[in-house]
Parts: sequence; structure tokens; C-alpha cells
Amino acid sequence: MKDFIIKKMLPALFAILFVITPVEAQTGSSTDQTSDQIKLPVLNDHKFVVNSYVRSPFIKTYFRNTLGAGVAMDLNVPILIIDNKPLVGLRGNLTFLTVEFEYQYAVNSWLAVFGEVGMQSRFGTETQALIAQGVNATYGFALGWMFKLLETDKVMLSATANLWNLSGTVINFYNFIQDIIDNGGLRPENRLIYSKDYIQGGGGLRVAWAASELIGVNGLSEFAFGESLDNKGTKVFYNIAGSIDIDLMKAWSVPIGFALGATINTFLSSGDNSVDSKATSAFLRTSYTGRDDLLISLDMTFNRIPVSQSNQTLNGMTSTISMEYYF
Amino acid sequence: MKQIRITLFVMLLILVTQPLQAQFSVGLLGNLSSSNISGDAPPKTKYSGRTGFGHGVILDYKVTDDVTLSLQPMFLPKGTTISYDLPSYKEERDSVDAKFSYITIPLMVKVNATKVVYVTSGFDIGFLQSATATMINVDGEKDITDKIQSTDISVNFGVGFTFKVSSFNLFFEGRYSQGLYNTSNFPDKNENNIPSDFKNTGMQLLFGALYNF
Repeated sequence: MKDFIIKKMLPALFAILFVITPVEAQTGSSTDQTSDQIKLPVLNDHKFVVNSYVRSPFIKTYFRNTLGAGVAMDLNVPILIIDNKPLVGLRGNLTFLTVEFEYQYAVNSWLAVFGEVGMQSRFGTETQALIAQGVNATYGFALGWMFKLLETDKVMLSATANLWNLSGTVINFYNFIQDIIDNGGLRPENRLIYSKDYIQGGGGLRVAWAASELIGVNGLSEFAFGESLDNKGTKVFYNIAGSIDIDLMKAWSVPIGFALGATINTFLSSGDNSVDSKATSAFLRTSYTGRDDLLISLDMTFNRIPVSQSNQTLNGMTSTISMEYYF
Repeated sequence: MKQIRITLFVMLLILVTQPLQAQFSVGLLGNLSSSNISGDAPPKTKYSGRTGFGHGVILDYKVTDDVTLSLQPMFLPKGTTISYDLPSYKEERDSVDAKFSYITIPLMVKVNATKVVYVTSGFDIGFLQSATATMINVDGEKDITDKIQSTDISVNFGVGFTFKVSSFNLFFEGRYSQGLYNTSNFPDKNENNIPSDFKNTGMQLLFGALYNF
């Protein structure tokens, strides 16, 4: 076993590290590289650990792919009521899945256009949670423009204009069953499966501040006006987020970066008919920063999701793997 | 014919009222569109795209070397084909052809990415000229103009290519258009279960020529 590790595993590991880490022997380390050679967002010699929660204001061309899954536990399943008598209430878990692809193209030094397609799904993992929360899938795309407003040695500020075109499908067992119980039979307007297309338009501000070579700060505020899955009228949605990031490459030549941040988001309630008001999240991103054009990251996100149906706030954990390639 | 007259009149108006300076270009455009509506489809039905051809005039004003403001009044057909899930067929069958004709006035901003490629975005206000519904394989069409909102506002995103030939600029552009407002005038509950909430949407392929003054 020891021989196997020494003869097979270690050379393979070194080979992988050699291939994916462009640390050139001539320079000693990539910290000697100038900011111009680095394609990832850089200000004040700080290479930002960008993340998809607090989008960066940099006018760059890149492609991003995010894949994630999560779980929210201890959902109180609401009680079915028959003849004004409560029936049964149980507990269950919810599972979340997300897939996103984003492409941003830098038209010139002050303007970028971007498009994003994505899908989010939420479903109960046990029978009782499945009955209570059903299955919810939201998919769609976003198109937008980003304009650079300000760039100094340490600060970058940009404004965005966005359009979200979304579709949602809900399978709501609970409401379907409750309606049958309440009305003594199936009615044409009682639909088990419900689908809707909805759009939102808005914009926001993104800011990045390179406090030092080691530390960077990102902030985002985004607003949208539009429809939601379960509401015929229009509403205002917002997302406020901030993060602080550290790139260990600069200080200690370790190709690892971290970003710690939080978001307050009401967009989720527009695409999930069971989510009430604002959801709050805190995240920790760990990224491989050894390359100047690629960021591979693992995100651990703690979510607090208010669920309107059972009048409770769920705690959940989501893990996502994200890859951003800068051209 | 009425639409052609209107577009020619708008073109004449632009030519008369605008001071023709070096940064102005005027031209003609064609528009091959695949339009659709987005929203709640009636039960057991599906919306699918409807192809049409539009035409109009284009007036470009060069704000800077990279940025151009473009006014593009045009006649534009929109609408959808509604397919019904019929018991005797495996897939939905095209059953109703809904045609909406608009005079639209897009105001677009074009930003050059290179000398040939540009990206564009802007808003578009449309004025309904006519709306008809035709049952496929059944003679006659029904006027539903009063069932569709008379104005529509859309947001457009596109990518285009332009080539200079003598004093002309030839261009073609792909554009995505999304209506922002509900264009349905149908009441919430109606006998045909037509939804009371839908929006125009579609892809467009524009092409044309601009004369540089």
C-alpha cells in the first residue's frame, strides 16, 4: 500500500499540480506577474475571488458554470383540516438543485453585455414533505448590460440593467388535496400542476474595493420590478449582498482564495410560491487561484428561508461547485 | 398598403425634419420575425411561433465613434399559433392562427464591439393596427382587435454586423424582443378560456442598408 502511494499516487498528484498550476520556474512564483497578464479581476494588485452571489463590476469577458445542491431540514408539514378537525402534521426535508450558465462579453472598456440561463428546483424528499411542498421548478434566462461608472486604483463601480424572463412550474399536492376536501370533489379550477411565464426588469450597482494586495471587498444592490410565479400583480424585488475576499497567493504563494459574504434576497419569493418575503444567506467560497484565467470554487451556503405555507423559517445548507473562465 | 404609406410618410418626415449632418445615416430595413406570445396557455393548448415579414425605415445618429442612436419605425407582424391537444392525435395540432399587426417605433442604442460587430439594446413602442384569429382549415377570420391592447412596449437585445460599401452601410442583426406589458384584453373568465394575461415575444432577423450623409 505504501509503495502504491509513493510510486503511483504521488507522481500522479505532482503531475496534476504541474499541469494546472502555471507557476513558472524562471520567475520563482506567479506573484511576480503584472496585473496586465492576469485575466481575472484585479485592482491594486489584488486578485479578487469573484463569486456569483456578489457579482463583480469588472468589464471582462468570461464564462461561468455553477452546479449545486442543498437541503433544508425540519420542515413542519402543515396539518390537513377536515370538517374543522386537524388531521396530521409531520416533519420533512426539502432538497434544492441549481444549475446556471453565464456568459459576459466585454464590448469595450466601459460596457459589457451578459446572458445567463439557469434552472432551480425544490422538492420534498420524504412523502410528507413532498405532499406539503410539492415540486417546484423555475427556469429561464437573464439578459443585461453593465456600464462602468468609476475606476480608480482601488475602486471599481458599475451599473447594470437587466431583464429576467422566467418560467415556473409547481406541482402542489397539498393545495390540490385540501381543495378536494374543502369542496367535496374535484373542481376544474383546482389544478395539481400550475405553470406560468413571468418577467422582471431592473438594474443595480456593483462595487469592488481592493483594500490591499491581500483583501478585497465586493458589494451589490440589485432591484427589479415585475411579476412572480404566484402573483398576478407586479412587485419590487431586491437583492443586497456583500463579501470580503482574501487571496493567499499574493502573500504566501498558496493558490487558495476565500470569500465570505452574505445576501438578503427577495427574488427567491418570485420564483417559489412557498417562499415568503426575504431569504438570507451567508456563504464561504474556497477557490483555487493558481491560474490567472480560471477560478474553480466550492461554495458552502447557509440559508434561512421563510416558508409561508407552514409559517416557519427553515435553515438549509447548499453546496455548489463553480467554474469561471476569463478570456 | 396602409402600412407602406405610413412608413413612407414617417421616412419623409424624418428626412424633412432632421438636419442632415455627417453623423446621420438613413436607410431601409427588412425584418424576418418569428413571433410568439408568452403567458398562461389555455388548458390543453400550446403556443408556437409565427413567422412574418416586416419593413420600415432606419435613422442612425452617431453620438460618438462607438455609440449610435437608432430610430427604426416599421410595420411588424406579431402573433402566435395556438395548438390544441386533440383526443385523436398524438401531438398538439395547429388550430388557431392569431395575427397581430403593429406599427412599432424601436429606439435602440448600438455600441460597436469591433468595426464590423455591434451590440444593441433599446425599447420599442408598438401601436396595434389589426388583430385577427383564424381557425385553421375553417374559412373566414375573426376580428379580435378589441381583445388586444392598442399599445405595447417591448425591450430588445441584439447583435449585429455592418459592412461599408461605398456610401452605404449594409447590416444584418439578430434581435430578441420581449413585451413588457400584458397585451390581452380578454376578461379573466371567458367562454373560450383565452388567457387574460400574455405578452408578445419573439426573435427577429433584421437586414438593410443605410446611406451615410
